[in-house]
Amino acid sequence: MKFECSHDSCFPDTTCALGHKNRLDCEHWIGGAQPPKQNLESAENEARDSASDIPWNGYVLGTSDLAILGGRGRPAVIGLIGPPNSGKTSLLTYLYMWLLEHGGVAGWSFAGSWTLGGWESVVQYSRWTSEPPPSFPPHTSSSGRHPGILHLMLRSKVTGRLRDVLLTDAPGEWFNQWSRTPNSSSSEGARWVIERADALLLLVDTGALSDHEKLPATRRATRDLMERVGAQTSCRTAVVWTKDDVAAADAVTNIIEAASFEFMPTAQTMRTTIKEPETIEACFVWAIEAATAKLPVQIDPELRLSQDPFLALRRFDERH
Amino acid sequence: MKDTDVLVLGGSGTGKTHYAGQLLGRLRHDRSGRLRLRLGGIDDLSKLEEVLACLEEGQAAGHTPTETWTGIRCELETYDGTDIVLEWPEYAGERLFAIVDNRIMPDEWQESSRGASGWLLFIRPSTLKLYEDLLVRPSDVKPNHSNSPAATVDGAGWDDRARYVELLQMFLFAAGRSTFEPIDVPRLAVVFSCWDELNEEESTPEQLLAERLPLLNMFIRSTWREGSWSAWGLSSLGRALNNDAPDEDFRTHGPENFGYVLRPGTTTPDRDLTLPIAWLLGV
Repeated sequence: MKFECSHDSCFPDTTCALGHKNRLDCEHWIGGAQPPKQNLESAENEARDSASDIPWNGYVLGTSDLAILGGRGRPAVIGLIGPPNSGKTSLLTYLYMWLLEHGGVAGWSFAGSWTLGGWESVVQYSRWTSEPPPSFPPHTSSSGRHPGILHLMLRSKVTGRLRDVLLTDAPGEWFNQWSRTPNSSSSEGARWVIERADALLLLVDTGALSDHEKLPATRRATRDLMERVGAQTSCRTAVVWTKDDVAAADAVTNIIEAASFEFMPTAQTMRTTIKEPETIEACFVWAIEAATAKLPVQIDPELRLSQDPFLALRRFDERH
Repeated sequence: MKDTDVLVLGGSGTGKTHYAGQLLGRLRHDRSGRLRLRLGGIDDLSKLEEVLACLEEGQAAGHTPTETWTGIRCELETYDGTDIVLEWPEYAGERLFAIVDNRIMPDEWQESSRGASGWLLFIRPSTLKLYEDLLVRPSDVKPNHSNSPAATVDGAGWDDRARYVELLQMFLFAAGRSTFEPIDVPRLAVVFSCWDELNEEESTPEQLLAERLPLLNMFIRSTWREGSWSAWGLSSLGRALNNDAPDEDFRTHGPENFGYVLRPGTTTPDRDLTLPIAWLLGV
């Protein structure tokens, strides 16, 4: 039996968007009005087998998957933006490899992720399996309308609080397009990232800036993006010089730094290189702290009294 | 009488069945452990018939058939006389990770995850799938972008550090546990099985967890409250047995004289195989 549901936010690999445990009970389940009694059990089994009963499918989240996170507070959104090939996905790959090896980043412990399959898919190219030798992930496709979102749950080592963090993995073409025409329909994906981000990492491709061939296009794309970001958003931003093991000519560096200072005077500057993975860790620690600091001040959550949601905040014992 | 379940989470080949057989041997024939069986406290021995017969012969038991899911009911008493009924689940290990791969949680698991007072997670360190990557072993040459089309990796291809985290996340969800604050219930015992295969004489079970599975280690420490989880070393048999060549020591002395656990934080063997269960049950 095929998965047949008419609800916009229902998918076969996650749970019913309206919370029905038995999908036959849902008005959106097609053909399932009321099957004849003798077939009821088999229809129920088929409905179960055709759909998952776990609300996350493990792969990158789309915008309609974010509802499962909202229940326990607003997640911190970190946008990675930059021209194509500036190293957005590679930076995320190193973050995940760091977590596998260290179980956290400075000040934060890993506490779970709804997108482990997404992280595993990104990192597969950077592992020593057989042939070919490890590499960076392939170019992120620009075919979708919304960015792929990777998720982490982190527990603060200072306060013990749990924090959901979302990291966007979007193709660089989107940001080139957005810096040209930010309001066009083809810029929707980039706009989603920039409007929702609590902290932005704007990547500058040091490798391309030191390459005679790529320099002009990269310089233009980087400066255009800085100008737009400076004009359109006030969220905390860091300019991240990736591939910092190569050096761009001083004249080129000065131009980009001048643009950064001119358009985004409050932005931090950071440098990362895979030769010193600590630089990448530090970059994400900054972003996590910056995105968290932007969220409204939290009041202390009320103590949960029961694992049962209905009784969680009810103090029957005191009244009776 | 306290009625309680233990949820056993053990993949294929992690040694659940050997532990069940040896645990039962201890409960019945070695009355000096923390837990023991009440006389006649088990009504159906047939479910473990094969493993018990093999162990008496000094041979390794075969693989639990895929279709089997049985609960073995044992009436136990503690060293101070408290009665406990333990329901021990026995199933084929493939079924456990099929949950992660197919993303469907069968009803019996769901019930078991909700009702169990303790979870026993079996990990066999010598068979873990852990990849080396560019972070731990950088390449001499500068890596390029891969030209292969972007593909997703299914559960079976995941690194075990992530796979065990996903397994626990799915069971926590099935059990209806919020992890917004660290949890106390159910208790979690991580058991590193086939400890005799390791050359880690100086490692405590916690050190092994932190060194081999850092992501899982931090996940557990962020999710369970200190004191509500523990890590153990386990060698149910104390040595490797074969399927065909019997071990004479086992035949002569009886299987209940073999096997050991490492208590949390220690590096020395303790022959009381009931300790992890006793800890889970809080006795």
